Parts: sequence; structure tokens; C-alpha cells
Amino acid sequence: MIKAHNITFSYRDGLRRLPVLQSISIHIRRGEWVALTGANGCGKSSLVRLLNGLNSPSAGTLHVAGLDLRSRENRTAVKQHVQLVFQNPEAQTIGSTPYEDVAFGLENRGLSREEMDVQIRRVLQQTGLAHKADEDIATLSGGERQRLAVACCLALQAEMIIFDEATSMLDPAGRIHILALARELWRQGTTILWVTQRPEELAESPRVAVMEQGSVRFDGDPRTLFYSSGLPGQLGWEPPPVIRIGQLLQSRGWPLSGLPLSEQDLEAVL
Amino acid sequence: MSVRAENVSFLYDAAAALQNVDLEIPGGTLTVLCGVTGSGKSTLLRLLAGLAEPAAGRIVYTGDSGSAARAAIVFQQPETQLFAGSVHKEIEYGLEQHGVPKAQQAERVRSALSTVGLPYETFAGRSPFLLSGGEKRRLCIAAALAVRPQLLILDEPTAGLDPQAAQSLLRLVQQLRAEGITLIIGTHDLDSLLPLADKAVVMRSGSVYYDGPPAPLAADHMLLRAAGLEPPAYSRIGNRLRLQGLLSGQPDSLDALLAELELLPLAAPSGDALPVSPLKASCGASQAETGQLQTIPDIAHEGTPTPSPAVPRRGVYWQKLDPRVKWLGMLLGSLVVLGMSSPLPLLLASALTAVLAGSAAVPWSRTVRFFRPFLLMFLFLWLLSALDWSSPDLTLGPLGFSSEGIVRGGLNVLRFLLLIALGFLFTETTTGAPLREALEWSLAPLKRLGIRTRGWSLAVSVTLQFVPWILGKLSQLQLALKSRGKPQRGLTRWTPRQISMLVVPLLILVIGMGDELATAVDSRGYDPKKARTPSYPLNWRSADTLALACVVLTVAVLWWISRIS
Repeated sequence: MIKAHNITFSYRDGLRRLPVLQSISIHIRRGEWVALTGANGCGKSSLVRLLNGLNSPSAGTLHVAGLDLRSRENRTAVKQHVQLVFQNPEAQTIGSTPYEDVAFGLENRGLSREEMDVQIRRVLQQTGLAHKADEDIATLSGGERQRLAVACCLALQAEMIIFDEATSMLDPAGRIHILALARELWRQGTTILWVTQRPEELAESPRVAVMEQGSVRFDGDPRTLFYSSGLPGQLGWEPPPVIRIGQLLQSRGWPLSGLPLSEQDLEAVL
Repeated sequence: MSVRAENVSFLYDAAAALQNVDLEIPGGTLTVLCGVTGSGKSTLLRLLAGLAEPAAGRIVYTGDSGSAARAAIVFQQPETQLFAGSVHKEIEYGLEQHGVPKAQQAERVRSALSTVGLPYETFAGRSPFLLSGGEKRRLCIAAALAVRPQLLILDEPTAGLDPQAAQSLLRLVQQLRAEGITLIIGTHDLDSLLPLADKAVVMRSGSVYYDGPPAPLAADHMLLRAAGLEPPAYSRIGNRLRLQGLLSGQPDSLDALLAELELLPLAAPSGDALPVSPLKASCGASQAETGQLQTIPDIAHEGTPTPSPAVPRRGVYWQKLDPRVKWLGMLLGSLVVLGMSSPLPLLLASALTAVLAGSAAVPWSRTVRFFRPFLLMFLFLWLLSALDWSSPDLTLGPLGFSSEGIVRGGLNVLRFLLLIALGFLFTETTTGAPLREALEWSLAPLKRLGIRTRGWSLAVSVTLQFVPWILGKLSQLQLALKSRGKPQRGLTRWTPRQISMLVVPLLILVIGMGDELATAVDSRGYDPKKARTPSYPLNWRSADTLALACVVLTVAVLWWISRIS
């Protein structure tokens, strides 16, 4: 799905160029779930914008869904394959009702009005917003707005959805719903890039990439990250409770493959 | 200093946000206040900070040492509470407002920055707007601490921070707690904050649902889930292990849980290894290849209250009316209002606009909220038009006003207010898509000349849609500015300095929002060059012809009256 080789990216600040991403190489296969993390300002959002064709790399090669993103046409075309759910629920609604918001992305896809209507109602149903289709968007909660953003991605039949800290402004119920929705989409075959600051979400992901100062510092499985890389300590993370218990088990000589990553794992091993 | 809420109620737009809240926060303690969005948590924090008055009941502060600052609050979003050109000035503003002598200010700024871990030499000269999220939040806390409040309120202090910044903020909270400041923290982060708290309060639907020590709350999963909250992980894990017979009691913190586990033999499992990831890959690659999506189970209602049935949108007749009628009505109405120069037609037009607003069922509170920011500006314009230095009919200190100027200024202000009211009515009764189609229709002649108008209509419709958002941000900024100074009422809140301080952060917020919206539009593959199928079809009916005829007739009558009066 994504093949990034040695990509760099820098912002122009007057005559200077400020490097944001340096020599990033990452491959993401179709149908994978990858969690991406890193401190604020480490370049996660810049990478996400490259993957959706919003920016182009300053150097290196980037192929997304088979499209070479060095070309402007491909950067436009890639949006049919990769969609984004942003952090701020307020900043991604373009219509004033959920129906209008989903419709916006479909208007220049060459569909008839009837086809659009069917598709809009289907995705609103899928995301549990059918009963709010014609409500004023301002009356939607943060969690509902994020589900609406997912509905827009579904309407555009995105093969990959990038959730860019999409739950950081939500209350626990909203966060759980969005995470469950993303997991359901992944089970149905959508490639997911889950950008997060929550260590417990990293621990429960099949693959984790950690960025630091514009580079990928770690790319691998969460068990290696939390139990043998030493990286969380170097980055000043407080390990989540399950990992703290796992570290206790590790100190008693438990093998890496038996160390827990989730509460379900704990239940299974203890 | 301790704080007590006695039978406190608060209303938002006539709806109860808080009902009969009784609460006692002892001095020198850390209280965690939790509850889902809309539970009344943030409203209660504002009342406790003295930023709003309860509709009923009262907030009582006891043991007040009489220092200038009683309570300080730091809101969730740091970007809506930074105003000054430098970190030093940001903190200095609050000190000035609280009457701290100039000679002491520099030391206070330095000390507050040091407390929050921002070295003065590195940060004092920097722009607050260019700091990282964690640094901005620390600066806001420093600005609150500099005035040495006896009560510090933090709303969601760890939300959106990376783990390192969140940890460092938690250490700061512990440090402040040790220094004896009374702390109230509104949060969803029970895992981090409940073990540090002396007291916990859970809000649910505007009422206090739990008020007591944190440990029994963490252990009461049913109560937390009934309030829409997730029990802390250490408590969930402890509960499972207790049910498995591994633990004798419920741990009240992660350290307590680990201490109990230390005592157990915990032999390594001899069976199969755990899966590589708890998220088992049950996805079908074939589905991914075909690009077909199955119906996702409706997860929207799990664990949340049953959604209320769809509420019909207000002013249904207005909503159904073709947007071109409303667009033309606004245009013709604006033209005739601009041509009015005497009181009678302007008063008639005002009455008619009020009737239209009533028939469109625009809520009164929404109207007031919309017009409030304009009122001061119009009052200023009115006074400016009425000034007369040569032969004043009325003098007020050094200022002179002429009767003619007062009437002329009043009419001008009324005219402007009417123009704004017509725009307000149009946008309140027309959702984004019809508004965009009506704009495109009106710009069609330009399109025939080869000018691309799609971007214009989109920009205008999105901008109009975000006017309430901008006004909301303005209110947040005003509230944050108010929280930095001594409590003031009426026009004393509106010194030119305060107004000027709001301009830059508001502009930054609006530009930031514009950028994010442009990104959202772009990321959905919007291409103005491509052919488009509008989701909202313009459909002119006989009712629209009738409505347009009424508009034209009314406008003609108003124009005629304005000519003869």
C-alpha cells in the first residue's frame, strides 16, 4: 500500500529550509494496522500529509496505492485511495449537516444524484449516524463528528484510512467508539495507520512505528518495543499498567513471547 | 482556602447545565472532577473559578487569606488563552491586572516559569504562539501561578499531550499539591490522576453523582460505567486478578497492584506463546483487494444512552424555500435598507425583520449570542457619529454631542444592524449545500465569462457556516482574558487594551482553522475543474414564486415609504 524510500521533507521559511522529515523508509502492506507515535513536533503529521498527497517529498521516492507521488496528478489521484481523519473534529466538517458533509466528497466523483444518495445513507448507517443525517452539525458531539469523518472516508471507498490522533480530543466513550470503528474497518480489509500518543494503544497494535526528530526510530512489534528495545525509557514514557506487570514477569525470567500486551493477555497468562 | 458550592444551579439557553450541586472542597487538597462531555464538569469549574454566577445557590470561599488572587483557572485548549507577544508579557499581564507592584513583577515571572520547568532565559522572549502544545500548557499554568492563587483549577491538563509532556505535567501537579495549593482538576485521565487525588467527584447530567474518596470510586466499576467513564486500568486488572483468586483485595493504585503481585510466585507459562498482537488479524485480504466493504455493526449506541429521535429542524417552511428566494430577498432587502435615511422605514424594516426571525424560529439565545459582539462596536460608532465640538447640544465632560448627530448616528447603526440581521436570517435558515448552490447560481453570469466561481461559492458558504465558530472562540478568549484579571463587570471588561489583546489570538485561530479546513477540502479530493453533481438540486416551485412576489412587494412598499417619509 505504501512504499516510502529515503524520503525527506522540509518546510520553506523565507530563504531557509527547515527539515522536518529525514530519510524515512517505511513499507506498509495492504490490510495492515500500523500505529505511529512520537513526541509533539516530531514530524508525524508531516508524514501523514505526504501519504495523502497534501504535500510532496523534497527527496526520496514515495509510492502510495501504486501511485508515484512525485507527480502532481498522482497526488490528486491518491486521495481516492487514502483518506484522513484529523485530530480536531471541528476542522473537518464542510457541510452543515452530516448528509451534506458526506455528499461534499462525492460531488465530483461522476456519480448520479441517486447513487450519491444511496451511498451517503449507507455510510451514515454504517457509522451509526443515520438518525442524525439532517441535524445541524453543531449539535453533534466530538465523537459523532469523528464518526462522520470516518463516514466521509467510507463514502469515498478509501483503501487506507489515517487516523491522525483522532481520539485525543474525545471523552472515553467517544474514544472507545472510534477505536472500535477503526478496528472493524481493519477487520474488513481497510489498511489503517493509527497515529496516537497513548502507549496502551501502541501495545495493542500489531506493528508500531516510533518517530523522533523527523526519523523513524523504531519499526516493529510492540512486544519488542516495550520489553526489549529500551526505547520507551529513553523517550521518557510511563509504561501502561499491563506493561509494568509484564516487566515484573520479565524480571522473573518469563520469555518475551509470554509477556502480556493487553488486559486479555494478562488474563490468559496469569 | 476551601471552596463550597451550596445548592448551585446554572442554565445554558434555559436548559439546566447544573442542578442543585452541593460540594465541599477542603483547602490544600487535590480534587479530581470527572464526567463525560456535557455532564456539567466544565461549567462547574468555571463557577468555582468565579468566572460565572450561578443561576441559583452560591459559591463560598472560606479561609481566604485576602491575597489579590483567589482562584485561577487554566482551560483545556491553550491556544484560546494566550494573548501577548512574548512569554514574559503573557505572565506580566495578569500581575498588572492584580496590582502587583512593577518592582516585583520580573521576579514573579521568573519564579512562575521556573516552577513549571520553563527556564526564563530560554523562554521569556519567545512568542507564546510558537511554543509546543506541552509548553503552551505550562505557560498557561505559570500565568495562573504567578498571581499566587489560593485555588488552582485545571481543565483536562493532560489531554492531547505526548507521554513525556503528560508525565512532566503530572509531576508539576504533585509539586503544587505538596506546596499546599488547593487544586481542582477536571479530567478523563483517571489512571494518572485518581491515585494522586485526595477527593473525587463524578458529575452526571448536571448533578453530583459521586463525592468521596478516590479509592472506593476506582473500585466501583458499575458506578463509573453508569457515568460513562472507564475505570482506571490498574483497577480493571486488579478486579480480574481478584476474581481469578490471585489478589485478596482491590488495589487502589498501580503501585499497590504491583506490590501485591511481587508477593506471588507467578511461574512462567509452559503452554503456547501469546499472539504477536492482541488485535488478531481476522481481515480477509480478498475483501481488501476487491475494495468492498461490508456493513459495519452499529456500534454507535453501545454503552451510551439511547439516542433521541431525530428532532425536526426549526423553521421548516424557511428551510424548504428555494435558497434563491432567500438570496434575492437578502439582496433586495439590503439595497432598500441602504437607501433608507429616515426613522419610519427603518423602524418598519426592523419590525418586519423581527417578525421574520420569529417565524423562522431562530432561538432568542442564539440571536443574542450572535449580535452581542457587534453591540459594543455599534455603540462606539454611534457615539463617534454624534460627536460635535463646535456647537454641542449635550456635553459629557470634555465631549460634546449634537442632537442631529445622535439621530444620524442612531439611524446609521440601525441600518448596519439590519444588514447584519438579514445576513444572519439567510444563513440561519439555509444549510451549507443550498447556500452554496444559491451562490453559484448568482455567480453564473461570471461563469459564462470563463471565470471559475466554484471556489468562491465554496469559500463563502464555508466562511458563513463558521461565523458561529468564530464567535464561540471569541467568547472563549474573552473568558480566558477575564480569568487572568480581577473580577470586573459591565464596560470595565472592555478596555481598548483588552479588545486589542483579543485580536491577534483570534486572527491566529481563524487562520489556523482556515488552513485546517482547506486541508480537509483538499484531502477529500475537491477539484474545482472537474464536473460536479450537486447533492442539493435547485428546484423552483410555485410556493417560491409566491414568496418572491411577497419579497418584491414588501421591498417596493418599504422603498416607497422611505421616499415619502
